[in-house]
Amino acid sequence: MVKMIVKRFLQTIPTLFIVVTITFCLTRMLPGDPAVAILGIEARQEDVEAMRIKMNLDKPLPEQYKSYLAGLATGDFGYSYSYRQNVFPLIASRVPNTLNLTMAALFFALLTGGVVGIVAALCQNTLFDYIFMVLALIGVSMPIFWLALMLVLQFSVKMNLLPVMGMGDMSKGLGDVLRHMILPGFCLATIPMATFARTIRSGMIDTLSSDYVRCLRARGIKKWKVVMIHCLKNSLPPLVTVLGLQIANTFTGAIITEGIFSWPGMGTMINTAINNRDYSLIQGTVLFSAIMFVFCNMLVDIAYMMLNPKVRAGKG
Amino acid sequence: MMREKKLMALVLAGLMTVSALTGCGNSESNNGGGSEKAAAGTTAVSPDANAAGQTLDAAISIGQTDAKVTEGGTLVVSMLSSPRSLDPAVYTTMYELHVMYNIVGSLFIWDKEYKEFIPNLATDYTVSEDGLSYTVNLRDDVYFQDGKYVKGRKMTAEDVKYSLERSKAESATDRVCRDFFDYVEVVSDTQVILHMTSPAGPFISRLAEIGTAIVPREEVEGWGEDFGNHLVGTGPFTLEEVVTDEKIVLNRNENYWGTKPHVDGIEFRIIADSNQAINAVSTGEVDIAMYLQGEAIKRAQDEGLLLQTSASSITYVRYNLHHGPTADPKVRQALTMAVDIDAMVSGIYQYGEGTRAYQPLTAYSWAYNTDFNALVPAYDVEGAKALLAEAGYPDGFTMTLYIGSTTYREKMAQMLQYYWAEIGVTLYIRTSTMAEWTASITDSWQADVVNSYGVSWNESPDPYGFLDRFFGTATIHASSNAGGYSDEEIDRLLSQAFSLTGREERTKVYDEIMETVMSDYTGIYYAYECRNWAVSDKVHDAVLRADSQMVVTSPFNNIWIEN
Repeated sequence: MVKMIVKRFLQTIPTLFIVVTITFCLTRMLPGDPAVAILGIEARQEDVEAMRIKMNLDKPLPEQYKSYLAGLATGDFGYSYSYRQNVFPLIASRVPNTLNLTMAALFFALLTGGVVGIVAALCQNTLFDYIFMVLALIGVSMPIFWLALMLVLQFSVKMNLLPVMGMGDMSKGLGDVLRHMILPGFCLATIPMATFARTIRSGMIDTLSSDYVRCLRARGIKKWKVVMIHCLKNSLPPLVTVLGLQIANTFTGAIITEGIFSWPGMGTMINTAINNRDYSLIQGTVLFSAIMFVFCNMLVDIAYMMLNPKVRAGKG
Repeated sequence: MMREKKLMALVLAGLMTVSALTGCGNSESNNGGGSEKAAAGTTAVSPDANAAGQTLDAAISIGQTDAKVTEGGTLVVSMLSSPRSLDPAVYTTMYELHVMYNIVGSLFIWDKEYKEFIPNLATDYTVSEDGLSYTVNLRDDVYFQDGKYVKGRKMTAEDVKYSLERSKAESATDRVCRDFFDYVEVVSDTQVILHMTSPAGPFISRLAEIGTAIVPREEVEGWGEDFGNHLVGTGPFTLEEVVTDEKIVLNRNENYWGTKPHVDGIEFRIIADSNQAINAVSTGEVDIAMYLQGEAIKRAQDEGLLLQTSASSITYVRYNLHHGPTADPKVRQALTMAVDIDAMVSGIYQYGEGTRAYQPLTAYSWAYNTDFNALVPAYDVEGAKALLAEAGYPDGFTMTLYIGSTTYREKMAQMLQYYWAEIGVTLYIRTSTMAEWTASITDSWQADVVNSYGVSWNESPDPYGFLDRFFGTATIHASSNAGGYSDEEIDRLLSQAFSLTGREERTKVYDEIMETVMSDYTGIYYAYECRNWAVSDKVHDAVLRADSQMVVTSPFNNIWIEN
């Protein structure tokens, strides 16, 4: 199995290489001049030219590409002119903020989605089942932007229960940070919640109707044991796949939520990078997101292997 | 089974309707309480483009009651975007200005009405007969804040020399009329002479801009490129903390030479969404939300939180003067006649945040002459059609309009599309981000791809900031003159007006210029837009000046917050 893991790991490298190349080309194709974005539209031509030289933009594209790759190999992700810092430490400082929010949201989504999904499967085709599946559909289709503003209007402005925006201050205690996390976390959790509920529900329905379950019940094993131990474990594989994708999706898709709640994470940084044509930062964040996706996929594959002995033994 | 399914479908439809209505319901319920709340402050009257010599009354917040002045508290202000570099020689956006304004000081500052500049670090000045030297006297009691390299040192003439010459040499943008300003001569610790290579009327007003703020050499040289994150100056507040994309914290400067601020400090928060900014003011998390747009303005008005002042700006559409159908003045005249500009302005600005304009100049300028309003042709659809036929386009033609993707511009574009369709002109609208817009329209007069473009232009009320930028051959490759206006006689007159230092003489020359350019139908200069702030009812004495500068403590105001 270790051999398989190493092989999966090596397979990620060509993927990342392609991502880097495509991003490099795409950023260069964006209209707008990064030097003008930094210096302002009223800047003198000579100063714009000098800035372009400083940013290495006057060199031919293949040469820029080579120096970027050479930098990557030594761990130098470039310099961000819009934040006036090196890209790697900048991303590193923002990632924890987004990770906190994303992990909290996903934890909440897994818990609620899981419970709802299991109950819906057990009460299949009853009113409860229909209601919750419709809610799941609404959860997936509702625009986060609208939901966020509605929640803020209700809970912050009208009822004054929760703060409107921001991340809170650790110096004011963990409670302050948690209070700030509730609304954005909930908004971020709606889509994963719905997805998890539906996935667990179908998985459970499948396993609940299989022969071995009837056998177990016939042998006198209590229903809750059958459900929680046997059925749940066997309906995990599709959930694990979905979970892996959702982690990466939610992490990279938190841009809108972070924007609305002024959560100082990767989302706001990416927005600024794009608006300022900050090539190094755009490339750095895309590369980071790609690494996240690839890593999550790898974890999913490994977890799948561990859950399903057939995969472990069979294919190489 | 069928019955259950039909029931489910009905329930589903019901849920959808309810959730859709909830969205509407919330905004309506705000209107109920609005009429009972006191106004956030005196609201400035929008400029009447038909009234001569009017002064701008800046809007001032009065809080809710006649409470006594209370000391202390932190003023929380929200902005749309994060400042990048707080260096007077490097900054590029308004967001940086707001923060810097409270940390550094310039020789002069604009008064409340944004009309005259009043002494700040300088006490007075005289200008020589030939306009080539300005003798400026400085205050004797100004000290720099504590930085890493400078510790409360007294500011002297040497610092003025350093800062002004640095701005000339290093700033990519022209902040100090660098082609006319030569060097600073230090006469004594409290007197300098600013030498010019040639006379420049607007130069002295540049000394009221933050681009010419006085900074300590030790800090600039000590921090190098990082100076922008560690700004040190002579202003009422010191820079404490910068957390990018989150907040900027300023503390009161206890050694400030001027009025002691009532508040303990200022916190600038970055809130990108206008609606969220108002939410934060409603809950009290933010005291002042700057830059409201669209419906947020109506909401602020309903909740009694709105502060509004007209900006020193002009919003316009200009034509390509060299290529395409708009190269013909008759066509341009026809296009202008085809638009009911009054109706268009009321249609775009539904909450009073914009008023009718006529000329390519702010109505608050001392050079504004209402006589020239008459040069804008009246709304006349038949007349426009006849002119077009005369110009050789009896069946109309197609043209493009380039705008930035904001609500106001898009509304304007759609209205123009409608009006011009009435005379047979098909308009294609091209929207994009401001960066792309600028790239598309600069030098567009050289081809016929861009027939017209629309944007807003803000500047201090000196006519040079408007007329030179719009009609000078020198700016033909800048976005401000993308229509390509170039005329030798106008250039000569512009230089002449620029070099004179007396207001009356300059006004005479600007009158000549205005008459000529307006008869050329270079564009539709249709509106004066407002600045809009939402201000909490606990804030007193916040002044919304025409340039929307975040002025916390100054000779004309000192913000305080009720407990």
